[in-house]
Amino acid sequence: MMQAFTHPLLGDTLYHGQHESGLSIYVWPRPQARSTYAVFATRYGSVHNVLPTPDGGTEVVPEGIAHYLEHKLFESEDGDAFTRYAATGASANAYTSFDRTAYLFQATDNVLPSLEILLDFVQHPYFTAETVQKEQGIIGQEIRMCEDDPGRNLLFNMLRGLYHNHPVRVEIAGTVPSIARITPELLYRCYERYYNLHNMVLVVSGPITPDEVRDTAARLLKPAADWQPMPIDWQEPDSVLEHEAEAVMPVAAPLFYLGFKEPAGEKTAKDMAGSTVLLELLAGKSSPLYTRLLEEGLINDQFSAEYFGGPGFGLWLFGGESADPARVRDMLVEELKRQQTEGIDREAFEAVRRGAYGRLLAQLEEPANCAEILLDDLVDGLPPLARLEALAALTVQETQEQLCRRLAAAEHTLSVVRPA
Amino acid sequence: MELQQIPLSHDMTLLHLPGERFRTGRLTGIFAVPLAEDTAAGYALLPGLLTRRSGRYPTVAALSRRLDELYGATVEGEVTRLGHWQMLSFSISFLEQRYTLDGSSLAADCTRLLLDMLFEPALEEGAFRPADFAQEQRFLSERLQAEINDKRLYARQQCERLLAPDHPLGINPLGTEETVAAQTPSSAAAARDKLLATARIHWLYQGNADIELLRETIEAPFAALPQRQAALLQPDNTFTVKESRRTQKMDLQQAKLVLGFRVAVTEPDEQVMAARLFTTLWGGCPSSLLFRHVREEQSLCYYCAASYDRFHGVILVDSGIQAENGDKVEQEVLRQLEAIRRGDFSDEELEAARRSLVQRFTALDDTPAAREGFYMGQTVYDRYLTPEESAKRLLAVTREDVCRAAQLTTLDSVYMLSPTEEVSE
Repeated sequence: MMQAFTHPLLGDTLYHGQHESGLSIYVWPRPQARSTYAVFATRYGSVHNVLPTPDGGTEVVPEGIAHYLEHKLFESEDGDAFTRYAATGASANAYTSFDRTAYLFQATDNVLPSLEILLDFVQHPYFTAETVQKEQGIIGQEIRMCEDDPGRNLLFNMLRGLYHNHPVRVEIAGTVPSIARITPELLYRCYERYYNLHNMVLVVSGPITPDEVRDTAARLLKPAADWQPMPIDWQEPDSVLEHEAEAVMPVAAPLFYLGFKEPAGEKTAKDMAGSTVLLELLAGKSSPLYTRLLEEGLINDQFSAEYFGGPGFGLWLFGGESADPARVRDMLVEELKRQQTEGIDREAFEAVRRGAYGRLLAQLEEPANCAEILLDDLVDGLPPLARLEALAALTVQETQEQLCRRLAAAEHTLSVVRPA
Repeated sequence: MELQQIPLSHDMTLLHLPGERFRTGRLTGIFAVPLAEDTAAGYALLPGLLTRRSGRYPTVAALSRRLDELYGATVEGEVTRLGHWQMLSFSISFLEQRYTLDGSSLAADCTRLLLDMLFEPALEEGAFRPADFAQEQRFLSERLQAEINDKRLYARQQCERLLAPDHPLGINPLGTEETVAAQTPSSAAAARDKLLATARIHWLYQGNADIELLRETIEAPFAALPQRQAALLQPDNTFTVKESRRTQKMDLQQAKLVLGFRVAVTEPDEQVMAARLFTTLWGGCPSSLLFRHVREEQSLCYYCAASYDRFHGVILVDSGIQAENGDKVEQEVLRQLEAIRRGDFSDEELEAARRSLVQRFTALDDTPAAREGFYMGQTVYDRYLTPEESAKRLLAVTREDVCRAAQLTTLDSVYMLSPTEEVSE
């Protein structure tokens, strides 16, 4: 049974149902769209780096195994899922991030057959020594490609400075030596533990009805054993490990990521809304700090800011290119402290909040964006699309409170990549 | 999707795509000038100079604040290459009225804002203000220098320059560090004047505003300008295969191999659709021959993809690999090309590529930005097909057409960006 709810600000009606297998299903009809986007995701990403052992303990698995599993799941005894999708014309893909692995397709035709393929192959793992070995070369090259990416180096060097123990500091794809330790048996164990339908969600958006999705799911979903999340205590302090990290790569000019570590704690939709607004108030284009950084020639038009978080971690990230990243850090820390003590400018807050609301709403256009933004809320444990309403209702007092609670000026890491 | 073509005064065209179903409206001015080494930098400075500030909102902060007030309206200024043209686009996207919290309509204010940026920029005695100019000059210069940061993109650019050293394919639409450095606030202002006077101009509007009112609003500021004389081009895509090879060493973990092919099929040739299907079959989707043979069967790479520039008649096949496998990958790419020339591919493989491409056309209709990209390419020849019409042409391409496109494809240049030290598997 799919329950309907109409979003008060969008006017769209979304549907939610819980299948008897435990799978949570969301359908967001977009009747006038041309394409349908479906994503079948598990709350299993690179940070879920442990398996339970029979004695009630845990064992740490090789780095990169969640990503490796994602690659291998496309293969079966009869061939691979891409061959099956070729018959429907759907554009299929998958990704592994810190907190999830997602299998998806976009299609303008043969949508239900494509949905069948998606639900089928993700529920049928097939790993052999031969197929696992074959992937070593492919993922090995993906790892090498990432190793040459200055942005990846900036990010993970920063994360290794921010986090003492939390596995967010580990490369999602692992390393060439770590993936060499992956076996079919380990892949099956990870699959059995984390690809339980109680731990998964299906989101579909496009010119499709909830009944079509429900009926397809009902035919294909297998029963799933009872399942409970496994709380993991990463023993991560609120303090950072290192304040600076540096690497040398063939780049044109110094690149930097400055990350501020958020203290541990659950996030609400209001927190997510507050993140967007605070980033703009601190260092957005209309902020006094941005103007000063520009006028001093310390940043260029590539400067950006974002918040991201997941199970047991959260950080505020400012990045770009600068001849003097340390000076950018100092100015940002100073501005953070200033706003924490003097308070947020009320007029600036109103304009920024209005702009952030509009930009988020504008993103909810194509089915792919609709589905992925909804998936973000579901994986984060938030009510669907609640951050939009939270943005509309956010107050300056709430934002000021978040600024003081969620950002500690001293707990930051500056990661720099410099030219040789 | 019904595209209306509305002639405007001053030798301009308004392309209107109704957009009732979208949450946003979007207006874009597309300005096309001949791509040339001596003018590229001057034009390339304009998107930044004109879209980060204006006469009425003379600082980045002031304009940003105004955009926030307009519910996060987004202004974009871009410069790209399309065939022999340097394309400058200036666009504004805004929420449709039904989504604003106070019920206000943003279309008129946003249209006005975009036109003010073009016609009422922040000038001082007829030139851009020195501080604004210096900032944008630095941004563009740093952007050019930073092209080396993305190794895949860098390798592709180097291969294009091997293919066509004295041709628009080899000219960077952003200019060069030398030509950017040579610009001044006055030369940039002169470039703006020349852009307004001589560019081929198309306006693409997606939304529900009153079209007559929009037409008047766009035409009005041009009335004060001298008579326009839009540029004409007779592109020359003839070529002789050079068989160039270049290897460049850098401190890397992975080599980037780029094979540059010449295809004797360019727009507006009727066989372009066949060449697109051929490219997709060869290396343009997960069921393609290169994905299957180079990646899945031989595990030589994470990606091996083919992309077709239909204005220059060039296909680039690029792959990230172990340097020692360069010859092996090159041979496999050529083996698959030969297979397609001979017709040595199944109907299933061809139809899978066709289905993939048809769905890409159809899915374009889901966002204003994707629709805009689709139609911008067609402004070059002012011949417009809707995505549905493009899909119909694709469905009519035969196996023989695909073989012929492959037979008209020849390896010209090979570029490899290679690690300085061998990296073991």
